[in-house]
Amino acid sequence: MRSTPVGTEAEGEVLLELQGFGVEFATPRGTVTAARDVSLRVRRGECLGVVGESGAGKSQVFLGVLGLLAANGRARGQARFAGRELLTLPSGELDALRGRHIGLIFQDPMTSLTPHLTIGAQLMEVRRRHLNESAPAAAAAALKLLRQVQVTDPERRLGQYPYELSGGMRQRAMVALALAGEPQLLIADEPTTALDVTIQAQILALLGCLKRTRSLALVLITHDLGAVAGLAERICVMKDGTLLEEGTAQEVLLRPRERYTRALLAAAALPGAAAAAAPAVDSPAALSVEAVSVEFALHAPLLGRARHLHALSDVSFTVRRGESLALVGESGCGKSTLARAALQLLPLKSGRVLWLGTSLGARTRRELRALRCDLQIIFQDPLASLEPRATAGQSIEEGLKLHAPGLDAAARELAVLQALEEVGLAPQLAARYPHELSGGQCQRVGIARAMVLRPQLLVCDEPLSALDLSTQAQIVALLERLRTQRGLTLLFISHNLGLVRRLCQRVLVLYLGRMMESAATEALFSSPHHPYTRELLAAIPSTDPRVQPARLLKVREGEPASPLDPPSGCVYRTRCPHALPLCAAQRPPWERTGEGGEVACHRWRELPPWAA
Amino acid sequence: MREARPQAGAGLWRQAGERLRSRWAVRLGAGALAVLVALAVLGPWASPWHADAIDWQHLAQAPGAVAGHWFGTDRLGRDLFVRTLTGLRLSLLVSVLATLTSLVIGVTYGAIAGFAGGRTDEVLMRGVDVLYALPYLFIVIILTSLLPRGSLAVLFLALGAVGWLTTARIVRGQTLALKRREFIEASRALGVAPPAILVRHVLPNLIGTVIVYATLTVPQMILFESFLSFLGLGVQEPRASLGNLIAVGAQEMSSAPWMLTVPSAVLVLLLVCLNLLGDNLSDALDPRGH
Repeated sequence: MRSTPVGTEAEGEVLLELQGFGVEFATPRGTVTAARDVSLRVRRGECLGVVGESGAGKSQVFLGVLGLLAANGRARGQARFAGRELLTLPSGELDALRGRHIGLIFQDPMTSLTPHLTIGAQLMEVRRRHLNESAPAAAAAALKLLRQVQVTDPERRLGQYPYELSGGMRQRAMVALALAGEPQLLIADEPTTALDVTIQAQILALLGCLKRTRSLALVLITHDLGAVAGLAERICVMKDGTLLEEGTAQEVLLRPRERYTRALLAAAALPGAAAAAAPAVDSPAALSVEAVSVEFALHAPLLGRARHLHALSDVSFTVRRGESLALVGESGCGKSTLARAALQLLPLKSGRVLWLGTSLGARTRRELRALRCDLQIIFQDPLASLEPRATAGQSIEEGLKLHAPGLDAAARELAVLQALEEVGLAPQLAARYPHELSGGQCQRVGIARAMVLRPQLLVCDEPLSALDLSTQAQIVALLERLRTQRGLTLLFISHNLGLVRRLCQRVLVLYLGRMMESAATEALFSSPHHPYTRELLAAIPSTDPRVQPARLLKVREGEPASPLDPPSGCVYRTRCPHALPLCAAQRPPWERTGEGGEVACHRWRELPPWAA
Repeated sequence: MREARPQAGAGLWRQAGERLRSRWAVRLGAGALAVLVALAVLGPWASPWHADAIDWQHLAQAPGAVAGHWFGTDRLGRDLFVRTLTGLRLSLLVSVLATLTSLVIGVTYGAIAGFAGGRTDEVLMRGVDVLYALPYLFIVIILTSLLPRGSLAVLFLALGAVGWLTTARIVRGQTLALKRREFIEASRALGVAPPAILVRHVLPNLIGTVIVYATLTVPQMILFESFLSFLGLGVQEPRASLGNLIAVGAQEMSSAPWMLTVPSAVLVLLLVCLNLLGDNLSDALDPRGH
């Protein structure tokens, strides 16, 4: 074992150093190399961003460093942490190091927090195990940690279980847990991927703040260049298991050397103007949603009445033929509910949905089933939305059997092959089962299943959130082509505002099941009227390292209120910086703005002009 | 790169098959079970004796090779080897048939309750609760008094009537979970009618659970059949089942212990084999276990 090298350089001592590091897996079909010849350094007080698409091997490198590889995995090369070689360390010493000197944050806080223990118990366990603290001292430390990660109401949170916390609070608790051993190095693996943009900005701001105050070394593993731009001093780009490019954030983000990095940057950048061509203004209304409300009854307690979750309240919009409308908002705002309500996949409490001028609710079930040929949907989770026991070809064929009974087996097969070709899949994939396909391939099968019926309306429920940037770009291009060539009407649900700007002509912003603002895409991005829209736009990460750190400093705190008990008046007022007593007393009217948009805010006229 | 997780589907069956074949417990259990089934079907012909034939020269003969009575004889001089194997045959037949009956009723009932949901589900499942609450032995006794004593129909009815309740509950729970999966919603969005969704998308995805449950039900049914026959409610003399052979043997425990140990040993062996297979099947079909 070598002695700890003295930090001589001004930037701070090198804490973690990898040299010629690689990860291999022994599989029945031979050795698979997940990463090879990776060399990098992380200094104290510095954030290293490790960027790459899924399968680039970025997570496996750091799992390998920590000895957390799957049983058939092996790490090679050198990995020194504070001068100690990790790969030759006995597993007992490595266990003592993890959690104590190296903290870990995972993507999904719900699955990485122990469900049956309170937050306080989990924090105290780390303090007592790694720092030998007494129970009262550990409890005090746990409270202090929750304060440091800016959890609201920390005393109460100590006694709460993970499921009782919101997504953002849960991820903060996860950060607190990673910090509980007072580590010098924090490794965060996609810490914000499962979160909304607004919460993502909050967590990134928190990590930046912790890095400064504790002079932590931080490794931020992500596929999102926007997430690293505000935090990382140095960035590595990985592809197919190799380190493609490494440099300061300025170098990599502003003067990338590799074509691949430039492609990633181009995909992550917010497009300047909507490329999408709008349909003629006089094209007829395809789908009209009129004053739709949806409520879910929660299970009634033994005594008392069932509570109602107000998923949607009085939502109206119209999409014209060949137009694409985006529904945006944080998770829980009712976007997916609205999509399902529009397709009559769940019952409405009030209101109605018109398709080509006639009400869908007034149709018989049989008529509605026949109509479904024209109204198709692509689901968020590509794997879950495919029948696990059917091959890709069978899944695509099912709709044809129902809606085109005149076709014989050969004609159906031809249609399936055409649909596969249309979404860019090889014909032999028709015989594969969903679990034998990648996420991107599954999603294309889902799209082919919808498109083979030649629908007139396509509802896309976050169709791209499970996909890599390069796959996303291909699917966006596909949807855009179908829209312009076939006059397809799109209802596009997304929390990714960059994609919305690229693909949609109009945007409807929802919050807690109510309409906040509706406007043409360009008008919304250039002059948003509603404070909520402004908050969403401000949270979009920029890939510019000159701008993004300053933006993170201005991140606003706050999370959506509960839809079980929505605030009176304007539902957004509990988070709104401009709220007045009037906002609590009265529900704001749905008013027209100058640019043809509409907004529900008492104060939209008085707000300062928007500066991006 | 982590390996792709096995999912339900034909691929799953292939993988489950591979995993099953690689386990020694499965090979042992399946091998022994095959031998037992072959013996039950073919064994009686190998012996010079018939199940009802009485050998007056050898009453209560101990096991050995005397006059071809390999496992000895009972107090009436009937060959115990033949009687045990015909008893095994009957026990297997009754339990497999009763399991199938309970599966057909239970899967249909449970799948409909779970898939329909709401009030239908409430009514159907409260019905199951009521039936659960009735002491099943009383039902069996009432059934035997209504139908001719010793008929196999009584046995099927009794076993099936009790067995399907648990199946229905398990299947209903699984259906409820399946119903919320996105691919079911996807087929609704395609315009598939609810009965077709149930048949084409829900039932096939229940098969894994049902098969595992069935392999664990067969031994329960054998035990239950033996128990009923032991009480004199099931298979009646002169017909042999493992249960009534054990019942008779228990009375001769001190004077002719082989009359108890031979059928008991066969029953134990059979139950061990079936349980080994059932446990391993549930492990092999559970994707989370790997």
